[in-house]
Amino acid sequence: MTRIRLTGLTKVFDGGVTALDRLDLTVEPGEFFALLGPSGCGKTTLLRTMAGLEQATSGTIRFAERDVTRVAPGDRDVAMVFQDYALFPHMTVVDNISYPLKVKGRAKPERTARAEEVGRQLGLEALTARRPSALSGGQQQRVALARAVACRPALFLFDEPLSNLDARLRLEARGFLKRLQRELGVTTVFVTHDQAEALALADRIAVMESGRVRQLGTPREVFARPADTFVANFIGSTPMNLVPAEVEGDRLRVAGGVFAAPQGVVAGSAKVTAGIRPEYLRLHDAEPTDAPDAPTGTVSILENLGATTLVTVDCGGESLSAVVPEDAEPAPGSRVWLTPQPGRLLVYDNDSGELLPRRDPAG
Amino acid sequence: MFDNLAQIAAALGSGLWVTVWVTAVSFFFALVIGGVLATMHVSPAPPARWFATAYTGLFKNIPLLAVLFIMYFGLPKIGIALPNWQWAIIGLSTYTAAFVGETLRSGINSINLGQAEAARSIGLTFGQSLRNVILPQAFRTVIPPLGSLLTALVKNSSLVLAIGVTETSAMAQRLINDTDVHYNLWTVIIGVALCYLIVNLPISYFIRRAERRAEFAR
Repeated sequence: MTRIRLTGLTKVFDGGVTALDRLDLTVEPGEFFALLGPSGCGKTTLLRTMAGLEQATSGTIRFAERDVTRVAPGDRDVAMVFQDYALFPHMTVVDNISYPLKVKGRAKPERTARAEEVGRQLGLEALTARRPSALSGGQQQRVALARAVACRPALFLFDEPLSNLDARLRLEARGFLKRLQRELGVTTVFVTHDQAEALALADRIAVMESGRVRQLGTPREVFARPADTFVANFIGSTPMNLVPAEVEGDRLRVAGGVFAAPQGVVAGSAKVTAGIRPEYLRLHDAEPTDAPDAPTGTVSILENLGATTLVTVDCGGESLSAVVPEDAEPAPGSRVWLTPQPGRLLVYDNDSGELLPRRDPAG
Repeated sequence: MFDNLAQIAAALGSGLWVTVWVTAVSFFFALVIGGVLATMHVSPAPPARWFATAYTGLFKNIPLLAVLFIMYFGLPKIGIALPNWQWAIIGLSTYTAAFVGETLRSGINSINLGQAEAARSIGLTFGQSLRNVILPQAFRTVIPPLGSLLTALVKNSSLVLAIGVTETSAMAQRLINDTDVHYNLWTVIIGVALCYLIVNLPISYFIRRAERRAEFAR
């Protein structure tokens, strides 16, 4: 298993666009690692630079302890799966899978045996004689994976591996991919713009923006405690409530009401942004006795999410959303009170957008 | 109109044979030179690209007749002496190569960039990726335009009569100008047209078949 260590990695394209900006990142051996961000954030460039398809402008890339920054793509011992799979249309499935081995000079019996073994592992045994054009999208994706797996590389690099599949197939392929990565135990980096995919698959996620890593953490950390308002906005299928707030002692004035301020947020940062996920807001149909002055308002919109409902509440100029179970929806127009689940209320600095209080690096 | 039919057929037949082999040999060399040009066009080395661009610009924009004259009359002046039929083949193949090169290049460009990247990422060199991944795919897309170039070359080869190669058209001209025997002008002209049709119709047919087979195999 291989550790990836990137130090000061910078990529400036010929036109002057800085795609990667002094990036430091370590991917642990055997980790399933997601690069997540909106288009243009540099995630694909980062993956392609690791693959060697782009040359880093400065900085170093180390696989295990080996510096591969200037090493040719074929000599890096990585296997890449491309977004459009890039299967070779003039070769059969088994030839596609064994071709990288042929390039590496392996003997034909070994190639064929390995291709057939990997084909079986990925459920392709009935398709080995077909050409890619005779396969469905999901099958093509598995052939692309098989081609990568058959190389037995030290690293997998996946560029948007699921984005060319339709929604139902994507869920199926997601489970398949996660199981495969667990079985093989090979360090894997994948790029995605789909936060749900990153949360579902990855051991850790790097949320990127403008060529830098905004937050690095487990899916749970990134979901529950976004490091800044950018990440807060980007992660989560229902958008996080981000509303202007004021710190008054140990209280936080939000949307015409009051929440208890999270520990450590001091009055020095008077004007702030309060952040709370709709999943972590509770609705009450009467003023809660343990939380007097909780924000209150009228239910304006109900959105059915299946087993849950997203409720939007108008609180005099601000709206807050909360997710409730399907049988607990309030009536539209009714008055409700809102309280955060303990420890779920987040406070962000208005200038930097960063989470408060800043964590002490030593602690 | 049907007088001397046997002599006309014999004369045009011998010319047709010259047309066929001059075309075949020229097309072979045009494919080779065109392949080299296309490789230079997509090569990472700038001088190779410059040369290919200059060559293509030159041969695409001057008439074939001028190319033949420059070679046939010009090059012997700097000491290169060759028989007429060799000048014909050199002229036809260098001229057609410019078009073959452009056709192959457009075929290469029609292949998704991802194919070249996939090839690179599994360790193929530029040459290997071109030979084993790009060209086999590009070739399928260029079968129809290459077929058109071949049929055009069959017809273009009639111009080599201007440098004294007695192919079909030269034979026809000889028959028409024969003042001893008065060959019927229309018999000769229709005969010439038939000769080119006999060659080109089967070519078109085989190209269409090859195109369909390549499609199925894709």
